[in-house]
Amino acid sequence: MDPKVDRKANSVDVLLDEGVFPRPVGLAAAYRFLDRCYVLVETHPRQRLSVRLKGKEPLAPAALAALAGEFRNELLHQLVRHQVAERTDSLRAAIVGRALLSADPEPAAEAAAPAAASDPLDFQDDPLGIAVPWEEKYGDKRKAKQKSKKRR
Amino acid sequence: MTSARPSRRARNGASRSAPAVLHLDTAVYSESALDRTRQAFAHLAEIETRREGRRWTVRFSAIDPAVRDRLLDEFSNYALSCLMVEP
Repeated sequence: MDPKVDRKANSVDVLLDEGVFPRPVGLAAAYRFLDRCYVLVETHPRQRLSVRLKGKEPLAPAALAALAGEFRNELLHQLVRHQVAERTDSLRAAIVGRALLSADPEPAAEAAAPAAASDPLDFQDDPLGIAVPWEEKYGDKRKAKQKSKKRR
Repeated sequence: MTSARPSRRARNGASRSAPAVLHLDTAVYSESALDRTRQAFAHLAEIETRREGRRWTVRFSAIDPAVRDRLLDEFSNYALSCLMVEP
């Protein structure tokens, strides 16, 4: 991956192995240099990517070599970004999904009270008779039993 | 009284007529990125893109002399930026 300085063309060529630096990484690094130099990207056989960095102003060979060095640093930076992005892909999707869900009021309300949405009962309804006083429920039966014992 | 020196318009016309060619890799530069770049640079030259095997051949003619020196380089830079912003 040694850079090739072309003094006449005022450029430096960096050859990348796409097995190490995937193409999106190489392109992202090249994109970061667009404001400083003219960039031309080409593919080569055996999964290699060539990036030509051409100075916008005439540059000394040492400056061109330094440019290639900075490009390599940027490649590493973009590679780390790429790896972190891949690793946290599902987590980011979950966070964004949750944020979007909470931003929409209707699904959020449904998610907060799914049972209430499907249950037609009011809070005052008492289908099991829990709120009925004991006397009302069993009081008459007990009196009836006592009356029947007295008769015997 | 006539002048031997050609008019500015004639000089511009002469320099505008010289064509230039840029080759870009089809595996890297997408057609949509090239189309957007061509539209952005249309006021500076007549630009024709054609796919030839694994390369895009971009032919520039009637180039504005003010940008002639850097037109091809700026074109490739813009194409790369288009590629990154919206592949």
